Amino acid sequence: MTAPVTVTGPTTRSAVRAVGLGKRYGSRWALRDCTFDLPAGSVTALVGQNGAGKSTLLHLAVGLTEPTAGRVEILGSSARRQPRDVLPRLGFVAQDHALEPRFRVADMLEVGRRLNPRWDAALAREHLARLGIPLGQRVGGLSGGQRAQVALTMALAKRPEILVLDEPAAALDPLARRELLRMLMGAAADTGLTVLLSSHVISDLERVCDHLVILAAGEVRLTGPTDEVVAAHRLLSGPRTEPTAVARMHHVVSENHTDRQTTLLVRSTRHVYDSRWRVDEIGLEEIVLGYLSQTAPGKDVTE
Amino acid sequence: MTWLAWRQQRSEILAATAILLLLTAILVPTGLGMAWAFDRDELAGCLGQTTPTCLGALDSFERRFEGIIDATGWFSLLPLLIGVLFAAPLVVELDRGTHRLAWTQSITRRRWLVTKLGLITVGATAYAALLAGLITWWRAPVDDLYGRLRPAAFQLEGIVPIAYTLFAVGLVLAAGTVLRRPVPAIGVAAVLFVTVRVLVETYVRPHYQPAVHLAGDSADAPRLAWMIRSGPSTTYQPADRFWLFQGIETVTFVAAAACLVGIAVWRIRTRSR
Repeated sequence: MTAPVTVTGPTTRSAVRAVGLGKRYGSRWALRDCTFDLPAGSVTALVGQNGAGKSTLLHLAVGLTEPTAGRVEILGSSARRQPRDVLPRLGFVAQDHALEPRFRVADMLEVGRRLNPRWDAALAREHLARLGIPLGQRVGGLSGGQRAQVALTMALAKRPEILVLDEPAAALDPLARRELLRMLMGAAADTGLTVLLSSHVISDLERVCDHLVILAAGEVRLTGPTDEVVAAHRLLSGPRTEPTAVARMHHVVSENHTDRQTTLLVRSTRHVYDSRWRVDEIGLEEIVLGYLSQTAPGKDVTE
Repeated sequence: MTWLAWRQQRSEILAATAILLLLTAILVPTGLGMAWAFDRDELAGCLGQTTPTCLGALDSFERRFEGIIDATGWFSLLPLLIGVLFAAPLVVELDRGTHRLAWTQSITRRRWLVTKLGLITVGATAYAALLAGLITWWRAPVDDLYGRLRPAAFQLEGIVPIAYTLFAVGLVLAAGTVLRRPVPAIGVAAVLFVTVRVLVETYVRPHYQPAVHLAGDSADAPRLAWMIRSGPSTTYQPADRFWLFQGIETVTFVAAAACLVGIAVWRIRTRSR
């Protein structure tokens, strides 16, 4: 036998890679056996309910937290062990924004200028001016949305290669959220910026993100490019039954029963022979919801 | 990073400066008045004398300045106050999570920590040294009369106030990083500060050197000595041991402060959230 031939396309650099990553607080695992690889230039949504471990995962990635097990690398290095290699190339916005409430906005920009080698002061001022956030205002006196924008400005002015955002949309109104996502998408397309953002809602991320990591109860349930994820799932609906026959042929992600009807979310591209089932395409949001409602944990990877 | 550390502590440093200026405004005029009265009544010549003129002069000096001299007893809490003013902002920052801002800029966590602790210790030491110098100058006439090895004088003068201040800094940082909440941490630090100070003063400091025993009562002990026990037999520490005792006490409290800061550093470095 000859060795299998591997055909590789243009090599994609890895932007974020987690291998067996885990974090335990006391006896509770906030994150467990987490493995995924996000290519440079991708825009990835990290989705999960509150408490699923999203913030823990992001804090591990940017080096704020030391992993209990495994490792995570950003741009090929550990933010914790090789901060000099990672931190200047990384922009991070914490969920609570981690700004000094007593500082004026101008002071925050001064912090950025003094602590970062490639600080883009013009970009920062321009961005804040466009949003109408006065530089003389104290951070503590800003609205939640304005604070989010200041934190985001600070991350962007670092001119990062990768931007990690923890629930960036949470504090924003719908218009600002759309504006933010449009800007991120533009930056990813124009400059090759890699974006990893967490959210507990997927609806407006669908158009923006090309990769997906679904996290539930501290474990990765699904990870892969969104188009492949969508292509790999089907919604089966039919008369009320137990899905044992289907489960033999197809991977059932979640099932829903009403008095008369059973709906199954299956991960399979194989043909469904049983004509009682109606087969439908399914959108990303419903796929995510299917995984999040899953009771039995099972790790699935779509490559 | 120095700029950020200064900017984050600015309000507290200004508060410490205001306290220092206020005390200067009180102590300089009263200190000059006390030194002037001391010279005018030629009390220097009366030290150790028991002539009626001298006793009268001493008595009137005492009556005139008794109130303010007693009031300076409260200055023994100034090291705690300065320690809290310098150390608490870091505890608050860790509690609020704003340290994550600095930790995700382009500087290493080590540099952040070294700069922070550097500003806190240098600042606290400088302010404590200024206050201790001021109070030591102010108390010079009082010390000539009553001695400075007595706890009431010893704790306010020389170099021990600096050591107490660093000890307070260490307590606030260690309690803050262990308890993770600023207000309980400052409370615990204050209680521990007073407790340790009292215990050392009562049970440890009298034994820094073997005390001198006398068969007679305290009138037979040399002037300005620290009376540890008087009565039918007397125990005292001679006044010339002041700097030796200051040195021992300073080393003790600075060592304790170093251990406490070590605990804080370890807690910050192993922080998991």
